[in-house]
Amino acid sequence: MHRFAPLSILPLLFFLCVAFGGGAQETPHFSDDVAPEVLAQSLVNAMSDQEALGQTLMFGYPGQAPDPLILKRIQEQGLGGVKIFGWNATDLNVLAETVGRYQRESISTRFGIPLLVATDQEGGWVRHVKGESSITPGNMAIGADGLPYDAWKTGEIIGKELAAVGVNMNFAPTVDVFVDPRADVIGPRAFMADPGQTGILGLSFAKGHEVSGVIGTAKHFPGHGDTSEDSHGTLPTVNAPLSLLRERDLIPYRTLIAGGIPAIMVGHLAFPEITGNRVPATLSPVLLETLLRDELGFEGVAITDDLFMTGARSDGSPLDEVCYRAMTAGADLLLVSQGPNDHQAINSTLLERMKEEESFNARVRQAAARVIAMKARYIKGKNAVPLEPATEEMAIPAQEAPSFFLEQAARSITAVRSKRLPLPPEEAGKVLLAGFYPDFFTAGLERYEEAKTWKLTYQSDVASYQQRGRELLRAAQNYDTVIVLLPDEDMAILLEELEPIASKVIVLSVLSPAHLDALSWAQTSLAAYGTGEESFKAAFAALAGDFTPQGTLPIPLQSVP
Amino acid sequence: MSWKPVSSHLAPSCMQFLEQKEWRHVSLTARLGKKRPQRGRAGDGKIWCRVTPEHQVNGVLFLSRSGVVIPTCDEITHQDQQELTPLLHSFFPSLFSFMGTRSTVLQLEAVMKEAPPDAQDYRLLVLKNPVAKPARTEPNIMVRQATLDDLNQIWPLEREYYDEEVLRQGRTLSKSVGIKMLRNTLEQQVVYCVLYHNQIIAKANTNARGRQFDQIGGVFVPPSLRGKSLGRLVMNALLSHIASENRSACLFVKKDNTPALSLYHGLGFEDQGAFRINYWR
Repeated sequence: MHRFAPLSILPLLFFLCVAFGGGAQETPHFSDDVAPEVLAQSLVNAMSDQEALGQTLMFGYPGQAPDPLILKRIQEQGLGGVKIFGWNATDLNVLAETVGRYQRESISTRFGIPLLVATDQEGGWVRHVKGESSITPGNMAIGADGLPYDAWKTGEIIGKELAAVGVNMNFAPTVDVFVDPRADVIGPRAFMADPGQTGILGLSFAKGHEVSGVIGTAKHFPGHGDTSEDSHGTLPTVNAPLSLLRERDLIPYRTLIAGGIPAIMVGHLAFPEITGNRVPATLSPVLLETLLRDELGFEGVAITDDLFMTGARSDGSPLDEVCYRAMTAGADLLLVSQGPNDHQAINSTLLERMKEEESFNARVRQAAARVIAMKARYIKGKNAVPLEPATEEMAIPAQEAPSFFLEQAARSITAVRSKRLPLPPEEAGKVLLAGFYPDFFTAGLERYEEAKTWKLTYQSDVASYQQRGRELLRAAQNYDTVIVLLPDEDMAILLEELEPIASKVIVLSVLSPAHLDALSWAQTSLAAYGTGEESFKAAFAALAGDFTPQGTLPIPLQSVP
Repeated sequence: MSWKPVSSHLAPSCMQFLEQKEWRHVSLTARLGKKRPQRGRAGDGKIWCRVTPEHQVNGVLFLSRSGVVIPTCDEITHQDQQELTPLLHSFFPSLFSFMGTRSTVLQLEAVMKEAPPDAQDYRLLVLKNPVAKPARTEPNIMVRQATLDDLNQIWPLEREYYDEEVLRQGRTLSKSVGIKMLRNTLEQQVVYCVLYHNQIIAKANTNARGRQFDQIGGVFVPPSLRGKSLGRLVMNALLSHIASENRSACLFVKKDNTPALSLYHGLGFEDQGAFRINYWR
């Protein structure tokens, strides 16, 4: 009997090995302490088709409260990400609570993988998370002072404010090179016209995000700067050969990829001279694989711009088909903002194709592995954005934000023409302020206390702008100094009427300074870029002579040598 | 067939009937959605319904506390007129207005002792082929959803809208009432606005959210800014929001407002017949 005893427990030992030892290998968990890529691969290997597919999808939702449909998709389809739009983010306490609810649902699934919670908080005027979050001077203000520190600190503060509400991914920095002055869609969202500097500032911004635990995303690959069309309504076309793209739009991406940018957003832009057709970059293997992966060597996550936008669907294809094509072309994360029915169709069509086509199945799993590896690198550990953000006493705006953005705005102020600079109140005589942002008037009246105000208003046509311009000209006869706000091309038409009193006029340009060319007769003009309180304070401080403006024009003007 | 106050066993059949052609009476389904229909009391009953011998509801008459009567059924027969006359006459002292399809409203007007002093005819439109486009965003002109924070900026536009589109000749809207109504709208409805550098210059909103349909109202572009497609811009954003919730849209518009009619047709709305609101005081 003795001889057989050890043998008789062998099957039991074997069973224990399979049940426990082997079992641990077969159900990996997001919290396992292994290298991101290794963890991602073992998770994807253990996943059903549905679970792998879920990781490659990012959906929007209506309203501010947790959406039952999204919760259901997280639980049943392993949805990997949600996108926060302005309509989800007016009350930041509610937003934080909603994000926490989604994350609880997500980490309760069997692999415990948290969601990507993404938004567009570029700085400047693209600001989807609203409430008390900072209104920053924006990319072009950073381009004007050219300081990587300012890009880094801006990225850090925006990142900190996003982290406070649980947003762990931001579709910023915008590194489109400013090419076309008429490109209003990008305009001041670009840093500047210099591609090399754009790359350095973009990378610094992304590194600032990293400090706050937020995943930065460079966009809009391969470059949105050379078109005045907006991909929300049409499919913009960039008629540039690859050689030009390599010398210009792709340069920032080389810098960012070398610096380890985790994600790149691909735009709905057609490049017929490169691809030979009008297929948007989002759906083009030539741009996604040959250019982004093979030539530039990007190994991170390629995310599509919102596929709901008409630019992606310009040939009339249904949304699920567009998603299939984007994934096949090489995108890893598909962003679809709207349409609960569409979301359902996308999931079922892609799942069906995974079962039918082995190569598509492998493509989805490759994409899922990239997404999970990025999550493992960022949404884990001490520096990670909290999954359940505190909903009270959130540090928004960040404590240092107002003073830093005031300093940054001051560094960006550019004296384009300096005839009457500086202009202390006692030398200004009778002052008229013509503009419309409340902060413009407040900051102006703080400096020129006796000034009168004149409101610039939106008009329906050129003739009405000119007529309003002549009215302003008449009103200006009684003043010694007329400080006018120049925010866009339309107001430039109105302000052109002031040429007869050129010496009295001081132009304060905000956003893109490109429109200063229309007022080349002005003898005194300043560029300020931002439209927040800090930008106007800084501009009037420079005008009144508190400091000498040191910013340089981030884009070339025809009227300035 | 006969008209009776709605009872709890009729309520499901009543709701089922109302959901069939909801675009005719979204303001009614929206009200009923908030709480279950209540048993009507004779005299100032809230909801009456027309019941077939098979116990199916095929017509509804709603009498609100504020004096609004909303009839909804395909037609009002001579028998209906006879049955409803005592009810409507007893309601007369608190009567404010009838609203519904033009034919039903006219048939009910016919049983009253006098003609309404005022009435307005509209076209009823339903969104059939939605062309949902996301809102375009750029620094000078952008479209976004409005919130309570926008109350003070929207109020002047809303007042102008009321003066031009809603109020009858010689009537004014007091500021306190107007602001209170606008506050409710911003809190409970979907409101979109067009902004020129952060200044609100045009708006559109839902004014009732029913079961499947949102009724759109308050579409307003100031006269000096018309012809620049701002209406289309704000409607696109609002309809896109509605479509994102898998809901449908309807509205009524004054029958001779040609620019608005052509805008709505261009957005995919189709004409569903005449609509009428009359006023008794």
